[in-house]
Formats: sequence, structure tokens, C-alpha cells
Amino acid sequence: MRAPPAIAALEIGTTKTRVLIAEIREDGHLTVVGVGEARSEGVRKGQIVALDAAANGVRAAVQAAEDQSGRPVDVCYLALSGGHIRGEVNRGTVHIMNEERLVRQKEMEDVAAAARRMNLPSGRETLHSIGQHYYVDGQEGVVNPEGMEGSRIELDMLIVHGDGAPMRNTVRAARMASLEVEDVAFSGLCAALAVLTPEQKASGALVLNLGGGMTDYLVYANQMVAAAGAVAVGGDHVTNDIALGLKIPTAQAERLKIEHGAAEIEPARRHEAIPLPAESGFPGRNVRLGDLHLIAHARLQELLKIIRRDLERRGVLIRLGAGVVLTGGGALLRRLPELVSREYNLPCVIGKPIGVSGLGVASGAEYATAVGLLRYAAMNGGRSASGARWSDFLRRLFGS
Amino acid sequence: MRDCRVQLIGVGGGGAHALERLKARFHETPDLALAHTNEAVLQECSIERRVLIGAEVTERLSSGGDPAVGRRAAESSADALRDLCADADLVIVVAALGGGTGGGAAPLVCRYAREAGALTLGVCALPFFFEGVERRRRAEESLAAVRAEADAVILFPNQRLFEWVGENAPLARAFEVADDVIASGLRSLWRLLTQRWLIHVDLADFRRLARSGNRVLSMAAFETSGEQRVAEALSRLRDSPLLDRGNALATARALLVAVLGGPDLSLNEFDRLIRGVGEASHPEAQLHIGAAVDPEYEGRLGLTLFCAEQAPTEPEAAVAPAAAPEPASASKPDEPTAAKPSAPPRTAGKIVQGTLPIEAPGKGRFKDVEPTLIDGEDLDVPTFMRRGLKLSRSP
Repeated sequence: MRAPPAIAALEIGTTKTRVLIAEIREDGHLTVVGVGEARSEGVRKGQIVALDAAANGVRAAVQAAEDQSGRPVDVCYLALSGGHIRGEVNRGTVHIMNEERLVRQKEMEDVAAAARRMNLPSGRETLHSIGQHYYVDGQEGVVNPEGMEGSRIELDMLIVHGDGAPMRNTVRAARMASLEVEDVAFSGLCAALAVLTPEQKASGALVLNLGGGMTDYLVYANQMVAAAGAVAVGGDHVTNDIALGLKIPTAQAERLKIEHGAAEIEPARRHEAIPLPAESGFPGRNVRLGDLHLIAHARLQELLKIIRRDLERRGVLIRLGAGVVLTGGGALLRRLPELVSREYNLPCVIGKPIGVSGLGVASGAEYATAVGLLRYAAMNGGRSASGARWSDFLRRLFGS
Repeated sequence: MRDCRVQLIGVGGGGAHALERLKARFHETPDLALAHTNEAVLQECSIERRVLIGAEVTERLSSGGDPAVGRRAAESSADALRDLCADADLVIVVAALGGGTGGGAAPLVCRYAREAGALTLGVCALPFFFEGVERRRRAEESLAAVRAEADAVILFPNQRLFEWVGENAPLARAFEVADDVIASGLRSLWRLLTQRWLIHVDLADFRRLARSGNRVLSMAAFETSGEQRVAEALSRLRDSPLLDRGNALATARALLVAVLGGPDLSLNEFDRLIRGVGEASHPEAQLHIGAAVDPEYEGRLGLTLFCAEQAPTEPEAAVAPAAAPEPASASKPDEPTAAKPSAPPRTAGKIVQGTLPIEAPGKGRFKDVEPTLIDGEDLDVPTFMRRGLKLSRSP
């Protein structure tokens, strides 16, 4: 019996490189059959700074996933992130010229094309264009205008765009590890696809995807992606702040963050001393829990305020009926949901990937991007294994 | 010094509830007034000074949850509202945001109060989560409008009160607690400004605090009694949901603390209390302390604390929508309007002027990558350094 078709998702994160291999059943259901994870090297703030080092991480993660699943992988879907990625709404306008002045298929296609044509500075590439809603003669909120009468039709399109060069470099790192890339997707979108329920998408939710070097965010409101963005601040910044503030090596700071870190200060325990063991080049000493928490709190509160300001400007903060969902490794920091809930005055939970079986070790919030990428791949006709068909985006990105 | 006159104005149903609660709980209160579009609600109130606004706009009914209607109602009754603000040194506008009258009229009442020359404080309750998206959306919009008109706002996000009453509390109890917390907070603020103090605080201190940073204040007020009153006061301060369970206190850069005790309050207790507040707060925070003795407070201790969430130098302050009518040097401790013969502002802990724990801006592992720049700030430099937060000396 032939095995069902498989797809692979690759995320080259700042701290971890992750690969998921999944089989697609005939009804479209995904079952993960291989999970691979490796430490990332040569990646800072979501961007490749050393191609061969990053490729090594990809090879190791692919190998692990292949070993587990027994399915070789030579084509994958790839998640992209970076502080350069922005989401902006662009409005396309088309005048209805036909005699009955009716919106038909042609007008719908024309207005979509017009809305996609956003004037981007040179070097910027459109990663996703996601339709929002239509206007007919200025009347707002039309979901499907086909067959309506009017003289002018407009469409709002969310354009997610980023710098071409760093995105190409991420694709190159995969290729250097002998992996062809079938299509790419913004990791913030992937995380949202992995964790949001249909109800959350309908009543409005913000997904904060907190990675090692990056925080992506994406807002679903009224079943649609309403805003997206990224800030090049992530868990590494918390670690770095701790290392500099407490004057300890980065590896110690990372361990301290994981074992004792928290996003909020616990006044009753602020004077508690945490002993740090000696290691080569470091004599070992005590640090105060209050200092550790203050450093992390200041950093995360600032990050949340930056994103909040952006969401306010875009008018989407008030559309988040279902609150905030946290994903990514950074979501696991203690008392972060409490901090988010206070800063945004919204309920906040940690997201869990849903709608995919066989997750096993990949069932935590830190796998949201990779799981969502699988779902993105399946939605976009994910056919892979061999016979890669390049996406329009990649063709544009590499100018072929 | 002439007495400070405080006028409280409850706007809309939520504001009226909170002030009615205040009146019911305490004998002595500041001057209270109500403004509402709904005549039936006003008639049920016991507060005498009340203004029916926008009679021709809403036909003496509610504003139907639409802030635009509340706003028109206030505009149409501007003269009556201005009368309420006349001669007050401090006008406190109390409203529950999310509805029509409170959300729509409160920003205008704040404007009239400021135009009348009063320091204007908006005290705003924000809806519970269960009250729904639409109400929260309106509340956010109204809050932006209040912030644009008032000198400062104090927020009471109702959702946080859940942490006090518990998730399983009856619905009516949740609203009651919300009103209660606001009522006792307002009463404490009023006492703070009108009490005769052993260690003085006054409106100038409060004004300076109100106009610092992003002009959003947090407040907590409570009373304790018995042997352990100091320890209990400190633990309630650290656990208060309204101060983010100690986080607002630990990061605030300016605090105003008022201690009210009976004749039995000892120097030692006072000292322990102030040291405890100092320990829970930021080492460089400016700490203004007031203390008063009231025979009624025999065996009891009242603690009222306000903190400015941000340092005056943070970028948000620069884009504050409404500039203070006076030269905006409100944050300088030596500002002439604030100078007074009694206690000078105290600084808790060591006085440190702009020195950072590490001399050069540290970027550590980010020194060889493209910096993350947002609004002119290099976010790779640790936040605590840029904000000048001081860490304890290594133990």
C-alpha cells in the first residue's frame, strides 16, 4: 500500500530550528509523523547572519524528523520572520463600467488586482495579500459584492511585506541543506493558524508569537486577518538584559531565566537569593530574584506597549473580543499571561496547536509556527515530497 | 493656605452609583454633584446637586449607549456643567466608561473643569470582560477622550477587582465591590487634600504627580487595625490588584503616600511603614509622604497611595495630547509652584542622578547585528538601563 502524501514544515528560528513532517489524509486531515529540532546557529533576530551555520541546524533537524518518520524530505514549506515584516492595509478602487453597473467576476478580479498593487519601496516584497472587505459606492463592510449594483467598488487588502534580501537568505539556508522550498509564510500567520479556534477568529483575537529573537503578531477579527507585524525583540533580549544587568555569562542568564524568570515582580520574594554555580571563567555567586524579575518585567512590558501602540494606531485593539493568545517559546515565561492581561486589559491564554494529530512532543506553544505552517501548506494544496512547484512569491523573490 | 475645595462630579449611571456609594458609606464627604441624561436615575439619587443634561437631546432618557449622544447632551448643557466646576481647586470627574453618557459626557465635563482653572482628574471605571467587546471598544475610545481633556486619569479596570472578590462571586457583588473601591479611594484622596497634616502634603504635590509621565495614575487605599496593622497594610499594598500586585509600585517613578493614624500611632510604626513602602518601590522613585493624626483613627491605620506609572522622561509624555495650561515643568522637584516651607520632597533610597549601572550602553550579544530601532530608541540596549531602573547591589 502506498503511504499517503507527506508535507514538511521548516522553521529556522533564532534559537531553534524545527522540522515537522506530516501525512495528509484524503479528507485533508494532518498527522505528524516526524518531529526534528536542533539548536540554531548563525541566526540573530530571525535573520540569517551565517548561512552555513544555519544550514547545519536545518540538516540536523531534518535528519531527526526523517529518522523518526522514515520519510525522506527534499521539499518543504518555510516560515519567515524578521523585524522588517509589516502588515498594511491597501485599498484598491475600480469603476464599474458595464452597462447594468453590476459587480461581476471581472470587477472582483480587477479590484483584487488593484488592491494588491501597493507601492512598495524598492527591495520590499509582498509576502501575503489578504482580502478584507469591499465597499460599494462607499458603503462599508460588504463581504460579497457580486451581483450588487453601483458605480464604484473598492477592496481593502492587508499586504504583509518585508525586505527581500533577508527573506532570500532564509530560503538559501534551506537550500544549502539540500531542501527545496515550495512556499513560504509569515510565522505570525502560521502561529495564528495553529492555535486560534473559529470562535476566536470570529470574535477577534491577537496572537503574540514570542520567539527567541523576534515577536510576531497577528490579529484576527471578524474571521479575517486584520493586522500583522513584527518587532525584532524576543526572548534573547530578556536573556541578554539579564546577563548584562547581573553581570553573568549568557548561558547562566538563559538558565536563570528558564528556572526562575517571571514577567512580573513578586514583592514578597524580591530579596530571595538565587545561587549561581561556578563554572569556567565565572566564580559563582548569588543573585536577587527581585532584580531578575525587574529586568524581565521591564523588557516585556516595553515590548507589549510597543505592540499595543501599533494596534491602537491600526484601530484593531478594540476588536479583540476573544483576547490575546501567546505562542512561541517565550510564551512559557512565568506570569506572562498575567502581564499581558494587565497591559492590554484583555483575557490572555497560552496557545496550544490544534487540528493536527500525532503532535507528541510538538504539542506545546513553541511549536505553533511549525504546526501552523503545516496547516497553511495543506490549505494551499500542499503537495510536496518531490516535484516542487514554485510559488509565485518565490518566483518574484528570486526574479525568475 | 486656604482650604482646598474638591468637587466630585459623577457622570452617567456608573458615576452616580459610585458617588451614591460614597455618600452612603461616609458621614463627611467632599462636595458631590451628578450629571446624567436620565431623569429617572437622577430622581432615585440622594445627592442633592444634580444636573439633568441634554433634556432636549435624549428626552430625559438614557443616551442609549451611544457616546456621541452623551457628548451632545453635555454640549447642550455646558453652562450648567460649568457652574458645577466653579470655584473648585480640584474637580474629580467620575464615570464608568463603555456606556453613552459616562463615556460621551465625561470628557467634556473634564474640559469645562480645566477651563474653569481647576486641576482635573478623571476617575474611570473600565468594563468587566464579560460586558462584551462592544462595550470595551467604546470604553477605550472614551478613555482616549478623557485622557485628552483631563490633567490625569486614575483607572479602575473592573476586571482586576475579580482578583479580590473571587471568580465565583455573584454578579451584583462584583459591581458593588467596584463602586466600593472607587468610593473609598475618592474619599481618601479628599481627606488627603483637606486634612491637617503633621507632615504636609497638598494639592501642589498631587498636581505635580498628576502631570508627570503619561498622566495615568494608579491608586490604592485601605485601612487596617490591630497589632499587626503596619504589616497588614504593607502586605495589602503589595498584593493590591490595582497596583498590579506590586508591579506598579516597583516600577513607578513618583509616589504620593498619605498615612492617617490615631493618637496611638507610634513613631516606630510610622517608620516601619514608610521603610516598607520604600522597599516595595523603586529605589530612585520620588516619594512624597504625608502623615496626619485623627482621634477617630484610634487603633486604626489608613494608607492612601498614588503612583505615576511612568517617569516624566518617557517618550509617551512628549505626545501627551493635552498640554498642561501652565509651563509643563511639573516633574521637576524644585518647581517654584511646588516649593513650600514644610517637608521637601523626599527621595527614597540613595539619590542617584542619571547614572546607569553600566557606563557604556551594553548591547552584549546584539553588538554585531543591525539594531532594533523604534521611535529613536535602540531596543537592543536593556530596557532597565534605558529606563534607569536600578538593581540592588549584588548580595
